[in-house]
Amino acid sequence: MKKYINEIFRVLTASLLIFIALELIWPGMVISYINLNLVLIFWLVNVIFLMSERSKTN
Amino acid sequence: MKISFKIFRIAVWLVLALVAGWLSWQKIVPGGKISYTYDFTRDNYFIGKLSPSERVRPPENGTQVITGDPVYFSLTPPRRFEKARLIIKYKIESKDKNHAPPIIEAGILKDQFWHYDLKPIENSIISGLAKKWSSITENDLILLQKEIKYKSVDEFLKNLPPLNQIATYNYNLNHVFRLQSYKPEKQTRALPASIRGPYGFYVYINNEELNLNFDFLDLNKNLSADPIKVRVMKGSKLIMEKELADDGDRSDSGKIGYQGKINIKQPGLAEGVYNVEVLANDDIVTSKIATAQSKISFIKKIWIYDSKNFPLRILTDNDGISAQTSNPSSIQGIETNSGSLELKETYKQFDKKLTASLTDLTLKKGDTLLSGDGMFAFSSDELFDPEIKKITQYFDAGKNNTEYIIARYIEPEQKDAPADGQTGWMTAAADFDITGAYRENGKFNFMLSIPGLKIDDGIDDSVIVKEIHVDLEGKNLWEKISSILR
Repeated sequence: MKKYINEIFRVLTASLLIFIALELIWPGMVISYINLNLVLIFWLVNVIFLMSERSKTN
Repeated sequence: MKISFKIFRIAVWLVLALVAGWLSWQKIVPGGKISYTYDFTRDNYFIGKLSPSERVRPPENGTQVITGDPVYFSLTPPRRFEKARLIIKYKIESKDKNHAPPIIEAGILKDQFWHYDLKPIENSIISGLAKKWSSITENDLILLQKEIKYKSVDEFLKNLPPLNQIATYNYNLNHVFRLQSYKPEKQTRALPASIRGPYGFYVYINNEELNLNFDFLDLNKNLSADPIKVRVMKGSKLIMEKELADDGDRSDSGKIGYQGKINIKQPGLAEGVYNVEVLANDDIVTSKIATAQSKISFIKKIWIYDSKNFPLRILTDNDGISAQTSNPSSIQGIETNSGSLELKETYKQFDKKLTASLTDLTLKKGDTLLSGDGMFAFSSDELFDPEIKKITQYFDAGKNNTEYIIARYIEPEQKDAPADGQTGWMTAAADFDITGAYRENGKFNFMLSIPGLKIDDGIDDSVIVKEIHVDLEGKNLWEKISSILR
């Protein structure tokens, strides 16, 4: 389970970085279709899951 | 287990790659065509909300009600396009059919001086006359005749009747305007008022020098540079252009500064009508116009700033005028020979239908903007109208002895008409060339003009918009690459 959450974390982190970079280069390109706040919320939820998984392992 | 994780890993990264690829596709628009629709159910990034909020009600049930004229919205395309087709789904609601707004037009902002390229959406004056008069339609051209004389639009254009019998709408009729028994003036005189903001006027030249001397002041009420450009045009041909930079004070201090002079002297011009445009923002006042031209008619609007000659007489051939002011001390009654036009409040437009073919207006105070669809001049000797009569909200075929109407106009389509005989949703399209349109922060500005639609005129009328759809067309990716490589 942990490795799946880890992978989602990597993809969501990459998504955020790519989307923010695209938005900085071409304003409006991402936010016209995708709500970046939602992506950030998913990422945070994923981080919480990841932290709880890690604390269980420790 | 290992295989399933590998598949999962590939799948999630593939989703990200697909999303990034799709976003790039939507940004680049490789096919050169893309469409956007704003249906008032949720915000649309590309098509902005209708504004200002004072003239629209909040969106409700997938529609938005427009209660005042004009309203604006923005269009943010993802990249450069050449053409835009605007399709509007709407309906006009009015308890009194006689007072329903007769004309709806859509326009795109052409420059920073608030000039819009307006295209028809609906014109019930033409639709009404088309039912009474003989009508010939050829593509998007329509010719209406009170009595049948011409069998085709082509025949009409080749053998035009007297110009005072023709009215046009969204159509430029090529004609040569000549003033019979015109005599040029030799003396230079100053016009009796100072004029605020941008404006344009026609002068007539015959065996004389074009001689115009402008003095400008900068009111410094707005935080921006206030450059001035004066252009002389003959038809669409630029004859000359002069510019004046800002007075150096870009603040909103309210300290009036002298901006400078622009003198235009051009001998040897061919006989005819010349259009002079003063392009400036509302901070600029033309404190003096001195000219030797005997004919000088201001086109569509004149913002009288001040005058030493109050009460000031202004002549107009408009079928109706609008007046407004932002200055509380300019509230007044403007006398006309069709009764008084009471300018009762600031920041509000007051209209009056004029019955005479030539109307005398008497202004008691300055800082008043007068507008209409015809000409304004400071004396009957100066007034001339080289334009063919245009169909406006005040148009009256009987009053103007109009026998023929030529228009570039396609009637809106009525779709989903309800069975109870009520008006259904109308759909109308307007095409725009957006290559030269004004763009600020990547946005185009569109206007919906509905002359006669007022919030507090006591008439229960409105325009309900159900959908704004925009089709954009430009170079495709291959054409774009080819143009770069060439």
